Amino acid sequence: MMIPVLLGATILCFVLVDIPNDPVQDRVFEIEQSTGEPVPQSTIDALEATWYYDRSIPERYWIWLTGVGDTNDDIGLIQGEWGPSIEGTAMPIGDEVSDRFWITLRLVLFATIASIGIAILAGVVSAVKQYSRVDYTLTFLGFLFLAMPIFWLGQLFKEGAVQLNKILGSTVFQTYGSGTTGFQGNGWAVFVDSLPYLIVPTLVLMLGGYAAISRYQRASMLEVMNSDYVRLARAKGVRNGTVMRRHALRTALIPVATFAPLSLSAAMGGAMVTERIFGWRGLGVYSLDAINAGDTFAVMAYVLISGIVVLIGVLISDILYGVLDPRIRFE
Amino acid sequence: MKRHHMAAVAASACTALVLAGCGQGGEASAAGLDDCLTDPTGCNAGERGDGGEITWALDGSWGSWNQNTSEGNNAYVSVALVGMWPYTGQFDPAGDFIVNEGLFAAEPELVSEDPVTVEYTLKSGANWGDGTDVTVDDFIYHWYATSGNADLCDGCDPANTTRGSQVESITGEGSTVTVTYGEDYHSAEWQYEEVLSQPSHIAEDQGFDWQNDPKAMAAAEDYFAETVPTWSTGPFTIEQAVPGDYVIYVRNDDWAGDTEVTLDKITFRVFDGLDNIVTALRNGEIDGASPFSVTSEAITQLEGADGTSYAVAGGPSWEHIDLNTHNEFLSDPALRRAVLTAIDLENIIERTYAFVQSDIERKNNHLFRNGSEYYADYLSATGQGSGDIEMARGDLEEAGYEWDSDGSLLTPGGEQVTLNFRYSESKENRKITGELTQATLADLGIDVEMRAIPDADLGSVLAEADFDMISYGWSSDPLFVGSASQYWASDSGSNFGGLEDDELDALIADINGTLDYEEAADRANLAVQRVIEDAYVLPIVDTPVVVMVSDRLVNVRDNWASQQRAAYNIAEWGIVDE
Repeated sequence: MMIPVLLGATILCFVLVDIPNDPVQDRVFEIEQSTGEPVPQSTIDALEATWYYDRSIPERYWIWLTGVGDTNDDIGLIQGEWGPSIEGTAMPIGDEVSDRFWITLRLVLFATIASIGIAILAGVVSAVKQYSRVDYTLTFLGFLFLAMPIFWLGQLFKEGAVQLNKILGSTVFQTYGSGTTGFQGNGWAVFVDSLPYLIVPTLVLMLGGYAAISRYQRASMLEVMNSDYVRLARAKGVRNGTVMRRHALRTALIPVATFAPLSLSAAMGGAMVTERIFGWRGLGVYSLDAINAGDTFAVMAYVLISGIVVLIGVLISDILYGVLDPRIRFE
Repeated sequence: MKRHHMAAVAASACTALVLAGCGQGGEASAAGLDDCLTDPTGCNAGERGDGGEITWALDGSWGSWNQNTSEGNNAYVSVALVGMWPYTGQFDPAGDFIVNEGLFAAEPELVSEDPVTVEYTLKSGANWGDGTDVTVDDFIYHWYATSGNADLCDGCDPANTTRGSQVESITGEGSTVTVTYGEDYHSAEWQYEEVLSQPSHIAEDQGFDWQNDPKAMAAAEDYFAETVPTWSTGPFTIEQAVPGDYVIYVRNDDWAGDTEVTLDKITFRVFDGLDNIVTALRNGEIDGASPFSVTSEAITQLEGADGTSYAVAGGPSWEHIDLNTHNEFLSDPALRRAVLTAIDLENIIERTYAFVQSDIERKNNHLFRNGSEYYADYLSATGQGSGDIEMARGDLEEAGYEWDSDGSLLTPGGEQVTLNFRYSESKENRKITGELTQATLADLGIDVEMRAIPDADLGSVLAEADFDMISYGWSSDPLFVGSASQYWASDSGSNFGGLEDDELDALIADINGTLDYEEAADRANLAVQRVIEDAYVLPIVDTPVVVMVSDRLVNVRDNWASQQRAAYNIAEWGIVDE
């Protein structure tokens, strides 16, 4: 089913992005504004040919998918070509998407792992201490972060970082970008360099994402704690800590564990607000810019990549169900 | 009618409340940039210490390195490449042309008027930063690339062929390069033409036989579009760059210019949006920026920033309201005149642009900036932009218009006049301009519908003339010869409102018919007078822009007259000598 779903998504997106946009006209206007002179018709024709805007929408989609027909050898998904970007030839779509994928992954991976960790902890503590002050406090914080729009939370933390830097008299927290401009080194060096840039956006993504999972975890934990086999274990005199750790938590983790891959893949596609606020040149920002500019082939690349990531997330989630819950078997 | 008033009042009140909450905006700032209004070329000047590294923010990106092409013609790449690009020269903030000291020993010289022949004298030692001198071949390469002639470059897509298509021949002898134009070339701006772009020897080194094979010439242009330029004719050379993201410069020790370069490293880094730039400046992540927009919120933030100064002034573009002459109502010049008369520009300016620039003035000439030696105000006397409703009503009555019992304006044929006003959705000032226009035209009995344009669609909306009234901006610089033709010639693709006026066309042709700059300016002003009579375009203001600079930088100031803005004198930038 994955391939038909992906194909359907690409057709829908292609039509939605392509119909309302005319990047050739927009570029012509930009050049005229810049040069103060009319753009020659030969240049307009060349732009149309370069971006395949001298064809109909169905033709463009077919060429994008197959590369079959009269092309400039830069298009055709099944031939490994993503098509031309209206941003310019120095920014080929394939290179941009692959570079930005890792940037987004770096941001999202840390934030998701951290948010799942905190969510499990908060959910378990809330459930164990149900209706206590701790439970109410954690519940309040969860709903607070859940209710805050991510763009607002981002700006708040960004301003907080600036003020903290001012107090400390340094720039411990960087507010824009994913690393020192032009920094080069091995993977570890790049990671260390990116730490001052990583802290604030990771916190924002983490707090924005943990609340929902912690509510799942709390509900799941409560359900398990009230089940017969936990009561039986307690009746048999097993120590409370052992009951919680071995019997309750293990079972209660199943919904969250299966939710995690989906959460990660959703974050890959949905980190665009955080990326925009903190200047991370990731996939989310790339897609947003491409949509705004009517850069159809760039949008298609994003749709395809994020579609594949989500589908892989769903697949892993389904497999995890079977692994964690012996009652579920795939045939 | 009441509703329109309420909308305008509400919009104004909201703006005032927001600004009151954010503090006062509008005044030019502290220290270094204070005297830029009175001393535009000498403000923030100071002694420089040797060395230093700075980061300069850009508010837009680029996807091609070749400024000759339609893809690479972009204001941001133009700033990003300012340290190495072979410009003929730069206009300084006073509007005076300064020839490129690293390339030319003297200003271009007109050696013949018929045919127009211009002589360039290369500076001794002018080179591409790799030990290769700049030669006549480089001039020829640029000609071929911008000719728009398939016999010279088959497959090139130059952004502009106005000059390239007119070149007849280019010859060289020693350090002198002579460019001869065809018989149709009579531009009074001959001395400002760009004559160089890419190094021909690198094209040859890459195996492109550009002189003999037009397809190879196009392939060379593609190569330069995709390749980070490692060559340089400027004071700096690119050490590292990623398109659309950053450019890192180090000093070019082979530069032939006389200005002493002190900075070791300059990083141009792309930021998304003004807010991020201001925050980064406050956080010490960058040393300055001259973005193409300014908001009152940004000014409030800058006022509270330590160790920085900023200034707001009219930038390199101007705002205006255009009417569509093909609209069924606006095809009547009498109605166009009444509409432009009813618009109250002082009120619009006071409620929009004056919030960020308190000394802002209404623009009264379409081609020449207020303060230019060629500036003349032909608009005020006509009443256009005055908001004089009575005058507008009188003109309409004279032309046979009437009002029905509800106060709606009826054409002489009895049809009710309704119009739309279009604006880019992210441009708050243009939206308010529309709302205030809507309110004043309601007093005239004209119902105006506001229709936003998604930002990326402005070009399409203009090209399709899908508007009755529209507010947008044109870039402006000291050059004017091509502008009148582009804006108003009947056959121009940029004459979006579709004005067709034979007399104006003749005046525009006259501008291009003289090599005398003063004479061309006089002729341009005749065209301005004619377009005012046509009641076609109403200028509002030179769009305010901001420059923000760390106090540790000297010799950095804004420049409306250059596309590179504050970076126009990058060789002079430095860290203050303490």
